[in-house]
Amino acid sequence: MLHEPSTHSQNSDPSSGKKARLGIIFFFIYLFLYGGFVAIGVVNYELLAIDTLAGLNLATLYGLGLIVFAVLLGMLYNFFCSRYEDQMEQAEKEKGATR
Amino acid sequence: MIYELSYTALFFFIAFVGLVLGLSFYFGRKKSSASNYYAAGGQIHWSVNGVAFAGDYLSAASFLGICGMIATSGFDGFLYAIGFLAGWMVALFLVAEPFKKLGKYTFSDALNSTFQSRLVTLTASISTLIVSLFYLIPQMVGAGDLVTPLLGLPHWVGVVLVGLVVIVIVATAGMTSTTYVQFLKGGLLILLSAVLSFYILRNGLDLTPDHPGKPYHEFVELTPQIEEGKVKSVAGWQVIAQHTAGELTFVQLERENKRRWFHLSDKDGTNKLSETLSITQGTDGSLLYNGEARENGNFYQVGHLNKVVVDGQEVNSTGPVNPLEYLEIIKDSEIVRFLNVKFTDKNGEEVSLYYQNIVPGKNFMLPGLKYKIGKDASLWSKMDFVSLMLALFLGTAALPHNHKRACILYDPSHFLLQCMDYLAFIDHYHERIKMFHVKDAEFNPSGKQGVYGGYQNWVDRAGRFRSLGDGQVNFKAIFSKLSAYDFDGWAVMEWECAMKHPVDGATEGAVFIKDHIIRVTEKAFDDFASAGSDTELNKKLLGLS
Repeated sequence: MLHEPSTHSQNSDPSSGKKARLGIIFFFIYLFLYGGFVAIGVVNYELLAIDTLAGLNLATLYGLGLIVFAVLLGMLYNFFCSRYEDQMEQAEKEKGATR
Repeated sequence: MIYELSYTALFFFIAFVGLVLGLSFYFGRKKSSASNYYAAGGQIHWSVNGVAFAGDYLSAASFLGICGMIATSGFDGFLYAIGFLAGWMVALFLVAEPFKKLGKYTFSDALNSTFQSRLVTLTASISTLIVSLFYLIPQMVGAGDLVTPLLGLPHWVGVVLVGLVVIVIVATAGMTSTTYVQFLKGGLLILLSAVLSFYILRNGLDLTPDHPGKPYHEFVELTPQIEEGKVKSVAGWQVIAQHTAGELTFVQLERENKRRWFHLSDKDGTNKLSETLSITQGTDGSLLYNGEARENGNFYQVGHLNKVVVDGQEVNSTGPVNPLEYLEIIKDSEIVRFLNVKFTDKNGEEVSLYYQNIVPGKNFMLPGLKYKIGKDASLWSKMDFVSLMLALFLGTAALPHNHKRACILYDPSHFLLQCMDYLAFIDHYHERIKMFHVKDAEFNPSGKQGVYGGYQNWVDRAGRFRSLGDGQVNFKAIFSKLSAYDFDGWAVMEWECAMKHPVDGATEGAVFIKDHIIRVTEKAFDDFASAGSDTELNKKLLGLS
């Protein structure tokens, strides 16, 4: 559309705000699960001893799960950030085409 | 352990140091700007950077420290692995993007760009130095600890050697060589830990983990004769001394002129003496390993289970296992930990003992060996656990403060009186402009006065506020820019005129603002495709109907 900035700063990244917002959401998702682990440890320690999948107790499963989940979240974050950047680039190109 | 200089290890150490120093000098010649020094010129491939970050995470502290803590404290050591990673989550999700957007290299630069205060910069710099210092001390001690077993060199040589190499690397080429060094380190560590894990799983768990050509030491267990809490005699040994350290009792025995320490414990209702590993420093400074001179090499590598249980059956050895089986077997078996205790005996000798402590696997695989958090744990003990998890989480986190709620009331008249570029200001700070005062002004410097107009009457000053339309502010350009940046706040008139009557100023001003507000179009002027068409009208114009 017509109403866009008349000047572009050199390193402007229009998807920056969206990426930062997604980061905050992901952070709170992770914080919630991490907090869950600490809370079980303090409030109901005995729960950590129960057997779960493949003979692992809850403590081990939760601990390993947190590590795997962190890696997954990182990959998801990368995926969405790349998509935002591609979308913004596409939008910029289309704007250029109607001019 | 008794450590000796290993020429193979020394060769690899020198080769690696040579390689990274070579890299540093190579990149050092290319380095020319701050951007190259601090951010490697932004030229490093993401995959290299990723492995370098992993190298950071797998530092001596985490890679060796966590393994050691798991060996001695079980699951409580694993808590560190979970918590360290959480710190990276903070860095990735909260710090990375805002930091990148600021375009600054260091944390104090980022703070300075927001606060523009020398005090803030100074505080940030001092705190960075303090944090670095306290971070470096354990790192350097760790470096010395690593060099001793790997190369057999004294501790201080390791500290000096590693310190010098690191200083040269960072000083010569900054972030480029630092990143490549971390990349090499990270890559090697990931590869070698994978190889190690493979062999550990292939060998499985054992009661006596033998090395080829080097059988595992058989730990002796003796039955003592005890009278009134004192060990009186032990078959085949001569009782020398008894020492109590806290709740633990140790007994020194002698055979063939060699003195050994044993741990007295109650096993299934009977008293037993179990063999310990000891390093004693005599009053003359001489060191004895298990009561013998260093040259005899009578000190063993340890790590075994007391009971191996697979699917409810006790076995001597598991054979190859997969990672999940490995963890399950540890949980169902009994682990022997070697815990350290230090004391001075009655002869003035300093004794450092590693005694056996048998732990059921199910306790080893739960928090609690170090941080007590069960039902019977005290509140303070639970708080220890919470504060550890919190400290690990926040350890890596440091968010540059660039608060969104710091917003701007934009008033071009003041810009004009200060000869500032009020249009460029909108380009810089449009995201933060939330209020707009529509106020005019003019600045007419003369041979007698300029910006510092002194205390003249408002009418006589070079710079003076005027009613809307009477001054020099280019409101057409301002309204265009604000519309272009989608400013959706109010355009509020502020009136302070040196000449005009306020009623006229207000009446004319309202119309002035109304005329300047731009109704933003919904479609681009050349967007024919979505403009729609009137078929009837087209036919009529073409004479077809």
